Amino acid sequence: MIHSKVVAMILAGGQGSRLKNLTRKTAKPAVHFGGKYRIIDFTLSNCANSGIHSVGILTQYQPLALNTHIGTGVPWDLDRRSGGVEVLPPYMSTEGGRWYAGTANAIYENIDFIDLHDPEYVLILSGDHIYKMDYREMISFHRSTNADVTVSVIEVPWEEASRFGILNTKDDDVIYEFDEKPAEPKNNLASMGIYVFNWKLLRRYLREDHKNKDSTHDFGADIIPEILRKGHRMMAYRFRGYWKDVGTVESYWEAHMDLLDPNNELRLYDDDWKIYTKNLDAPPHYISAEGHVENSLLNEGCVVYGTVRNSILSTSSVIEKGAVVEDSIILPYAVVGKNAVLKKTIVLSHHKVAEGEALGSDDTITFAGTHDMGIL
Amino acid sequence: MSINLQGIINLGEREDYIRELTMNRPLATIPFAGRYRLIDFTLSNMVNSGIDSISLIVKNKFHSLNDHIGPGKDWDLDRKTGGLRILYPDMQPDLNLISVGDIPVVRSNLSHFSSIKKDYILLTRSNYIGNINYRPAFEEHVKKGSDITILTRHIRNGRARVELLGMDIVQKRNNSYTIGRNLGNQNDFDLSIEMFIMKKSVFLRIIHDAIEEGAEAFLKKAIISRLGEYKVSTYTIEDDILPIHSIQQYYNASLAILDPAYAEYLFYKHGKIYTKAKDAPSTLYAAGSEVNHSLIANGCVIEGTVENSIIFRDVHIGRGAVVRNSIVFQDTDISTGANLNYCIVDKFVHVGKGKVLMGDGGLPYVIKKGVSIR
Repeated sequence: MIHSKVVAMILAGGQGSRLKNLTRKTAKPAVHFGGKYRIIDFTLSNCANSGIHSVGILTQYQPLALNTHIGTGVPWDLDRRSGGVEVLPPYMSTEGGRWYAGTANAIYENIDFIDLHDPEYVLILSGDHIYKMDYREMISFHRSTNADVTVSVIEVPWEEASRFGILNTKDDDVIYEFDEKPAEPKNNLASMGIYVFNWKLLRRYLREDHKNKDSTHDFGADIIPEILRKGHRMMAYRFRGYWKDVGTVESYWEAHMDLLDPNNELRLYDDDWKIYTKNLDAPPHYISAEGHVENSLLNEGCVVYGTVRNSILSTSSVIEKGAVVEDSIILPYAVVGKNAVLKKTIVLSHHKVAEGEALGSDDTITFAGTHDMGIL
Repeated sequence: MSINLQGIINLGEREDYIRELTMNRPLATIPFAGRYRLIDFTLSNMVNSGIDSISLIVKNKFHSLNDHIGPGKDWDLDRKTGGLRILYPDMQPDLNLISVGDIPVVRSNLSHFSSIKKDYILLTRSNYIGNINYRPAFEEHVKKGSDITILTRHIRNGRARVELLGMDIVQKRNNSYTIGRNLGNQNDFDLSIEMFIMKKSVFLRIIHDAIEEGAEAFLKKAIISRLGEYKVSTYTIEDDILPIHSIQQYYNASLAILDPAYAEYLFYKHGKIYTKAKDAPSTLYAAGSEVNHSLIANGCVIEGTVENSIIFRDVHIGRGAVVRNSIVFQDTDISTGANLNYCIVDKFVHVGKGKVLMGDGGLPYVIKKGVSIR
């Protein structure tokens, strides 16, 4: 038996179809982000930096890029003798094969994995959010408030509250109701999809939920309301800082533009909370004599002969002579050919924009490339 | 696939002409090309050539080397068999002094050399920059049945090249090879790049003989003075290799990478160059920054002007600051309005607001590690 108090379970199996061309062949958590990362790097680094060394990653949809990225967990120091990172795909059993039927079902199917660690708490995380968070603070809040369940929440503007799963709370942040995308919100505390459960309690509810034929086996829709109905103590943990769900092409693009603000709340340059990722061993980037770069983020291995404005250039992308790239995201190993003009365009990895091609406009986000394999 | 060749990197190099950068580090760990250390090139070349077992002969200033190399993970050299082995000198128990030369380090580690499982060894230095495939030279060595193969670069127009003065020159007289100093008298010659492929048995005999006879303090000298006793051949390496013995050579080699064709060769030709990962985010170019003809590493925030320069990781260049023809090492801060030309700025330096620092192309100005100019 391996003893560790907390096991983190990262939900990484969803299709993320609203990311369109980015997720056609790749799981959302493996999508490239911020010039050098993949989306899941933020959650994994948060675990590593929070001292959580037992992590399960639930995969299902197009897992190849995600699996090769995570490997044995070396970049996050999660290649451990005990604990470490474990990728948990659906599996066959004597009752046959079952795909994960929902977020709660994915955890239910891996009760044995969690039991192996015999944890006091289970931390449920999403693999598709961009944020930096010390989970230790949330867990100590959970403990000091004697909660059975703690949900991490973020204040959203009232006018946007109806787009989120809203938690209605009493004065002392005790949750009494979960409201999924309410037409008339009673509160502006949105769930971040981050939960701390007392494992014994969650284990019981997962088993009951599994037997319930009417359940969709989802944390937000089934487990949380059921636990509230039974009158358990559920607390809202208020998170302050940068947090972005990059579930749509628009929010993905916006999150990139946020990175161009030197005073960005995400504080990527903070050495005390680094975001780790797989090292691609590329040399520093090079800007030629005629190259021009402004208000942009460039990663290792890039070569710039053209003009780059308000854009993000990922690992080893090339901007050829005369090309103009504006308000765009260039994914790893992509090439923008000579004299091509890009505006608000996402160029998928390994894609080559032809010489002289003009793509994109101010009004909408354009893709160059039909699907990203996610593999480098 | 791994090959029957043990890499041995001898770090007992002379540092007389590059002292400004070797106060706190051996020559091997001088930062180079924005994110590397000199030794990364030799280590990566060996690994990319299929060598999976490497010994490092170190003399002093271990801290910087240990910090950089660790168990060799970044070069895939953390292995159960073979992998990386660092050979330290024995300290003199009473005086805590380290003896002269590298032969004493070899002597302290004789049992390691005897236990090498490969039949051939490749002996190199750490201060030659290039992207080298050692396989063809090794195959030639085996095919010819040589005892020792001296790896060389052929130099034309050598009289005009002052930077090669004092370097090792290989000559053949009466059917045997000699290695001496280049005094600039010859125009067409073979330069020794201090790389030798040998049968392990020959290498062992040379070090045993040298220790028993006690005449030499340096391994290189021990080999050179015994060339006449063995079947020796030379192999000309076609790849461009830049030696780094002096500040001037260091500066020139650094700026050479700003040629995209040379960079393409150096970083990719026979394989990538590996180094310790630092997990720095991408570099942010603020509105109003102006960067041209420069190599910039990750983790920087650039608000000023950079031209014809190399900027290492986590450097901040403030608004209105101008950096030209310079090399700036990691974690350095160039404040608003500062102006640098022909400078080599070591790690953790702070250049205050509006400060002006100038060197010359023939004599770059070196600012030492940790200095704060207010």
